[in-house]
Order: sequence, then C-alpha cells, then structure tokens
Amino acid sequence: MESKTNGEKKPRVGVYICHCGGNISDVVDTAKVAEEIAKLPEVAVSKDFIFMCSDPGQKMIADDVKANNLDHVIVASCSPRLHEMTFQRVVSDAGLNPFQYKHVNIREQVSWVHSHHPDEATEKAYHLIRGGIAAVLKQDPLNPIVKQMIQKAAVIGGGVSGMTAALDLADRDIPVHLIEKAPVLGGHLLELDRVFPVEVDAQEMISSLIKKTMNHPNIFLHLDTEVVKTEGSIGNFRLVLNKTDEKVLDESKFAATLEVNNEKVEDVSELRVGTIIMATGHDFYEPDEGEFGYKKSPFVVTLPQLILHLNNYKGEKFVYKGKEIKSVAMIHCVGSRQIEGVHEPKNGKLNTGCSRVCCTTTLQQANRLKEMFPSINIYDLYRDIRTYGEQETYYKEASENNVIFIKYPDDEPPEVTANGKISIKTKDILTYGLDLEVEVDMVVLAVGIVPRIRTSIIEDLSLPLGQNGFLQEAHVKLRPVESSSEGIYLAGTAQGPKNIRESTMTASAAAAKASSVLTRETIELSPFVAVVSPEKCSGSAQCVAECEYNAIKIVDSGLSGEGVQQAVIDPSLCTGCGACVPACPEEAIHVQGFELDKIKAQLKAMLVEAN
Amino acid sequence: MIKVKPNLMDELHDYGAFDVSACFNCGTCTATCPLVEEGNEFPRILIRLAQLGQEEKLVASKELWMCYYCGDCSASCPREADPGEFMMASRRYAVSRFDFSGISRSIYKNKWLTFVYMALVAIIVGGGLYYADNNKIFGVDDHTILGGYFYETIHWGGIVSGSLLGLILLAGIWNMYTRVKSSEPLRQRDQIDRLLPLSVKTKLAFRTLVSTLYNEGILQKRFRKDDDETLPPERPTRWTIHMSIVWGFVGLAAATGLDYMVKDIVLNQAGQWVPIYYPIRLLGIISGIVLMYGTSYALYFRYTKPSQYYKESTFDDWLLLWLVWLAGFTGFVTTLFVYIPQSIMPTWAPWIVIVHVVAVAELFFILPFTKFAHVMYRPLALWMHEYEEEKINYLENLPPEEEPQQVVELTT
Repeated sequence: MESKTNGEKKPRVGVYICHCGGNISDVVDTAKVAEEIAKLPEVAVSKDFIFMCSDPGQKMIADDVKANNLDHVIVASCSPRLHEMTFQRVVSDAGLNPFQYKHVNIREQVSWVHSHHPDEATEKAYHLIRGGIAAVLKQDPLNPIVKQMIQKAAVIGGGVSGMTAALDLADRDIPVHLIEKAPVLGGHLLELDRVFPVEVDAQEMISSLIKKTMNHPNIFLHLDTEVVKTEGSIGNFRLVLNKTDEKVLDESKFAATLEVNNEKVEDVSELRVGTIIMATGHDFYEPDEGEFGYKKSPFVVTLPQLILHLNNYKGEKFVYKGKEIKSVAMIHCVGSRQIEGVHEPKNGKLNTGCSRVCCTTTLQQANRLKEMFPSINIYDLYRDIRTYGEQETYYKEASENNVIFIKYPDDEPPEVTANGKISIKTKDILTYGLDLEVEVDMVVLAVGIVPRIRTSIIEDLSLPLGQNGFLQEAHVKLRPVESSSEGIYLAGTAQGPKNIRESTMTASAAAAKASSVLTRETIELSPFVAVVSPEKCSGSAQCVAECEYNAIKIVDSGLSGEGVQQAVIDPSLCTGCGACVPACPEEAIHVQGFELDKIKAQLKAMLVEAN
Repeated sequence: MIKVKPNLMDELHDYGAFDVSACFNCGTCTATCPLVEEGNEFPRILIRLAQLGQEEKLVASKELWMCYYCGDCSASCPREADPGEFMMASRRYAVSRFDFSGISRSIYKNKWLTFVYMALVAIIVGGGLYYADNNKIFGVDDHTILGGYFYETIHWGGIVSGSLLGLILLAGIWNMYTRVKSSEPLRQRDQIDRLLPLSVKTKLAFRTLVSTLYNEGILQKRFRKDDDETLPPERPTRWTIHMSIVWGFVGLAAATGLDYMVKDIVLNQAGQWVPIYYPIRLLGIISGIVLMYGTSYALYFRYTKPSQYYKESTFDDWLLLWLVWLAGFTGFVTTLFVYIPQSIMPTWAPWIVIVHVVAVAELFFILPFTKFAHVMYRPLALWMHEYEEEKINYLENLPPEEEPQQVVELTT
C-alpha cells in the first residue's frame, strides 16, 4: 500500500499535548514532552495546552493547520472513546482527511495509572506519541464507503409488532412492504380476550391497528405470503416472495378482520428494499403426549386453549367438553426454564429461558375464572411467580381470590395421573416438602414461548440466533433491536419472549432505527472493512469459510484477467472483524486502518530510545 | 400423601382472618416473631397449613398457643396479610373445633345468636334467683345480703352449673387431647411411648406440668418476653394487665374455694356473716381490686388504641372483658352492701346481686366456647407438647447402652 506522504514532500505533523486541567499535567511533564517532540524532524508544531477539547484548543489546531500547512495532527489526551471524533471533526473542518488524525491516550494509559511515577510516566507519554506519529504517517486518507439506499422497508410478520413497526415507518413517509404468512393480519392477538396489565380488550385493540394498517397509503400488504429467498445487504435487499395456502382455523371468529381492502394487497414475486424488520413472532410450546397428562386426557389443556374456550363464554357454570369443571390446576413453566436431566429436550434442544408472559397470563386467567365462576377452586403449581412490575397486582389479586399456590421443586415437576378424575401429586416446598395430592377436573398447562422457525431468511442472511433459538440482537444493552447484520432490525417476540407492551416498544424502536437510515438517499459505511489485494489473491476461498457475515464471495471479478476466480468483499456486509485476515495464505487481505506495516512502524517508533 | 382441601381459608375468614389469603409465604412474619423457637417456627407455616386445608395439623399445633399477639408480624407483612390476626382467628377456630356441642361455632359465626344464648342464661339464672328468693329479699328488712337468702339458690345452682361446666370442659379437653395426640409428629412418637417405662413417663409428665404451670401460668414468661422484645409504649404493659386479670381470677377462685371449705365443711357455718378482716374475705377483696385494675386498663386501651397491640378488638374480646368488669364491679357493690348499715340499704340492692350472679353465670357459660377457653387450652396444649418433647430429649440423652460382655467359653 503506497502512502501519500512517502513521496518527495516532507511531512508536517502537528502535535498537541493536553493537560486535561491537571489530570495529565500533574503527573506528566507536558511541557517537556512537547519540547522533546518538537525536536523530531517530521513535527512542524508541538504545543501543550490546558484543555485541547475546549473551544480555544480546537481553534488552535484549526488555525495551525492553515498557518503551518500541517498535513497530519496528533492530540495526546484522554481516551479516544471520549474525544477522537471531536478532533477528527476539527481536522476535517480544517480541510484534512479525518483519518489523518491520530488520538493518543496519555490519561487513562499514563497519568492515571502511573500517578506515583512521574518521570517514567513522562517518558511513556513521549514514546506513545512517537508511536502515534509513525502510525499516522503510514495512514492513507480513508473515505466512508457510500452506497445508494433503496428508501423502502420490508416488515416480515403482521402481528402487533409488525404492524406497529410498519405504521411507525409509514407515518414517516417511508413505503413499507408488510409480509404476513396468514391470510389475515393480527397474529396471536386474534386469539386473546383481555390483555394485561390494564385489561385492554385485545380484539378492539387489534382491529383498530389492522384498520389503520390497511388504510395507510404507505403500507403495501402481502398476505398469504412467505419470503423464500433473501439476498443483498443494507440499502439493497432482494426478497423473493411466494404465496402460501395457510388457512385460518375459524374464519367466522375473525370475520371483522377479513374485510381486506384488496386494492392494497400486492401480488408480486420480488421486492427490493433498503432495510428489513424481523417481526416473525413466536410459537407456543407444544407439550409432548403424556407430558403432564397432555393428550392423555381431554381435560388437560394448554393456556392458549383455555383462553380460546373462555372467549365469549356464556353460562353460569364452567362446562368443558360436556363436563362441569369445579376445580382447575394450573401448572407453570411447561416448556420454559427447562433443566438438563429433568426435562426432555425437544428437537434436541431444551428451552432454558423464562417465557416472561405465562406467569401473569396464568394468574390473569385464574382471576377471570374466579370472576366468572366464583365457586371454582383453583390450584396454582409454580416454581417461581414472575409477575414483574405492575403485573404484581394479578398475583396479589389471585392470592386474595383464594387461589391455592403450591411451589413445587425445580427438579421434581408435579405428576399428573388422568384416569377419570385427574389427580396431581406434588411436593410442597413451603411446608418443607410435604407430599400433596390435589384432585381436579381440569389441568391447564402454562406453555412457554418458543421461537418460530423461519429458516429461509435466517439462513440466507446468516442471522445469529441466541441460546434458545430466538434471533439475537447485536448488543444486549447498547444495540437491543439491531441484528449484527446491518440493515436488519428485530421487533417483538422474534427476539425473545415479551409481553405486548414490550413487543410494541421494540417494534417502535426498530422502526426508529430503520428510519434513521431509510430517510437518506445514500448511506455511508465504515471504511474500516476488509479489502482484498487482487494481485495477491489466489482464490483459495479460505477466507470465505471464516466470514460469519457472508460478506466474501469467490467470483470472476475480471480484475486479474478473464476467468480468474478471486475473493470479493461486500463492504456493506463486512464488519471489519478481521477473522479473514489470518486465514489467507497469501496475506492478500487486510482491514483498512489496521495494515500490518502501519502497526509495525508504530511499534518500532515507540521502542526508540529517548534522546 | 396429603389431600389438599381448598376451603379452610374461607372458614377462617368467619373467625376473623380477613386478609390472610394475601399471604405469599415469604416468611417475614416468622423472621420478626420474638417468640419463635428452634423447631417451632411460626406464623408462616400455620398460614401455609391453612392454605392447604390441613385443619387437623393446624388445631393440634403447639405454635398456635405460643403466640401472644404482639402484632409485630402484622406490622412487617409486605402483603398486609395480618398474620397476627390469623393466629387469633386460628385460636378461635381451634376452640370451636374442640367444642363438641357446636355452640362455640355458632357463637363465632353469629353474634346475635350469642346474645340469644346469653339472654337465655340470664333469664334462667336471674329469673331463678328472683322467683326463688323474692318473697324474702324484696320488701323484708333486717337481712344481710348474700348472708342467707340467696345462699341456698346460689349454692346449689353453683354446684349444678359448675358440674355441667366441668363436664363440658372435660369433653373439650378430651377432644383437644385426642387431636394433639393424633397429629402427625406425635403419632410418629408412638413407639417412644412404648420404649419408656411408666415411671419415667410419670416423672416427665409431672416435671413438665410443673414447669409449664410455673412458666406459662404463674409467671407467664412467654408473654413477658413478647412484651420485652417488642417494647410496647404504653404503661402498664400488656403483661402486667394480663397478670392482674389472671391473678385476680386465681385469688377470687381461691377465696371462693377456701370459703366453701372452711365455712361449709370445717366450721359448718354455711352462709354465716363474716367481718371484713376475715382472711378469706380479705383475699377476695384484694383479688377483686387486682382484677378490676387489669380489666379496666384492658378496656381503656382497647378503646383508646395507644399502640398496634390494641388495634383490633373483636366481639369476642369485648364480651369477655365487659363481663369480667361487670362481674367485678357488681361484686364490689355487693360486698359494700354486706357491710353498710341496713338503714341506708337501697331498695334496689338485691338487683345488683342478681346482676352480679348473672354476670358470673354468663362467664361460666362462655368459658368453654369463646376466647375465655384459652385459660385451659393454652397451658394444656403447651404442657402436652412439652411433655412429648421431653420424652424425646430423655431418649436422646440416655447414655449409650453398654455392650453385653461376651462370655468366652473355654473348651477343654
């Protein structure tokens, strides 16, 4: 790699040493360092100052760049996390490339850690700055990679999260393609009655959302549709669509939502969009036959089945399949928080996570049963009650309703025997392990939330999955709604168990994140990406296997003549992780900004003895 | 395997535990209780037994009678489930369980029924007195009250109703004894009974009886500890008040008993007037003062609610205290009548005597059926449990049996 400064022109570096108001200068002899640095031939200006980040400090650099015709700038101060971008902007405003700036950390790495050794600290600061000078002189001016943006979004999944995300984007005048596998919008909410924490009518809520979604001029619906192939990267994704023939179980139940405005339903087989929001939702855990008596007795049902049965239920007595139900046992953590050696893995996997919504929903339904049929007896067999936040009121209410709570041991789930009368045997932790027997007419299994498998998209885009098979966010705290693939955002339960409020929160957050790129005509990608040197690449493809992001392809690029297969890296997919660099036998790949000769020069300069 | 019964909590609601279903078994109550002992942690475990419908275990437990309601558990309960009130309600429930007649149960569930029962007692006792003696006491002068005319009626009425009361109490005690005996932890100790010789068991029974009477009855150490550790702000303390009432009663009972023995049996001077310095009369008067002191303060605090210990008062509490107070007060007035000159004796004096006798009769009546019953159940339950614990301690502390020496037979 040729460096611009290696020509006949003598480099002119400006070095600025910050006191940080004493944070640095109380330990490091900043004036002496500035004086020593000034002796170097490539240094044109060397100064120390009380606060480089202050307005006078910034102005000093800008003025010097012009007055002294500087071509590179170094500021030796705090951590680059704090002010690297500040000074990059300063030199950029003064007419230099921002990457002709180098930040040297002499606070965290020098004055704070060597406060009792001022002489050595001063020497260390000097060497670090010398290394910085050597590095910046090897640094080519870098420019962000600019890419055209297709200013349209795809939202995959038409449940409450998908619709929320789509509406948020559409309201910002961004055209949205909403793709839903079922013939109707609404998702799981169509099966619910009242939803916590404030007992909102789910049907009313979802139908108003559906109406808004269908009538929004910026939303294009693709119902009955599946994505079968996905390719591309941020700014330009290509989705191949296919019609499904999934039928809704009971059309009459959702009659209101079936009034689809047909003009709005798009019938195309291919879409191009700039970003994708994954709102693909979840499934409920399906218990195995015999698990807590499931399918052995018709009176062992799952929580969603109970809710469906109670929706629009009329009658004084609770009748299910011809039998009057006078007592119900509800068992928590069915298919959630599974433990190795205790629970049977499903598809070779245990669902170790907490499903977060089942505790509250179970107690909500317990209270509802008590409200509808006051004389009913309810037993609640739990491991821990996780009705966090204001959902706690459901727990309190259930206690006051005389729901009988039985805490069973994690590793000893209750045994359900269902011959005629259903009997449950369990240990009660709260009486130091008494063996209890409960006889009931019905058992309700609080089934957990498990990932809904959407292999085509996840495989095509190599989206990473977390431990329990849900889509994984780029950073659990700092980037909670972004996938580690640029341009892919996560909304709702596709990313993990959430209640409705949490789902719509992540949906709105994902839409906000997506619109921050969708509103631009072009996007600038980080220049710190891997680059192939065509003259060295032999097309061995060893790098391809290392790349987690599918960013490298072996193609006939035409760069080295007809028919030569060589590696090409898509900069918009590359994250600059560097995994491909050591894989190449020809040393044909490097990550920009981290070239080998630059690092060598920096080390060499650091190790020079001080004069 | 224990069957869970769902409706005990509903049942307990009728006895006063209104909020306890909010309990989520955190155990804060147990942690704050000053009277918890190792192996007898409460109240949480009792609430749990109630939630699971384990009535037998609940009423047979020792913990029920270890509690003196300081209210610390209720003050610290995060769910405001009022565990202290639960303990009270459970004791009321236990009393009603031990009563075979069902009167206790109906009294707790319906206070109007209580009035009906009490009115019946009043009519029988008061009416009996009035008709038996009215020709002698009303309108006839020159008589000492209780010196002669009421004497016969009260004497024989007392013996008959006392025997009846004794039978009812015995039945209750038997009922309680069998329940405690058959409760699970004790049943498992059946074989211990077989292991110990009768002499040891008698010794242990006597020893625990003495220690229980001394600690729980004479000094009420547990109650005192409850007061000491929770530092009630008001004076006199609950312990002082309770001790006054207890010792007032004991003194009055002793005076009555001694009077009967000395005058009726030894001196054969039944109904004879005695001067005020007659020792047995003096004992009665002093005991009466002590009783009135305790009862009056108890009532005063229950009205003014100076601290959490007095925040809840049920019908049960009021009934007992007011009856005792009324009996004490009329007793004093009656005593006064005995010693004032006949010239200033008011015409309504006999009515006071009738009211006094009726109040005492009502107390006798409610004794086996209400809160009052704790005077027998509490010491008895504590004694039974302590006796069982002592038996185990005795076995555990026996020196290890020596191996029988092997006799080596020498063959020649």
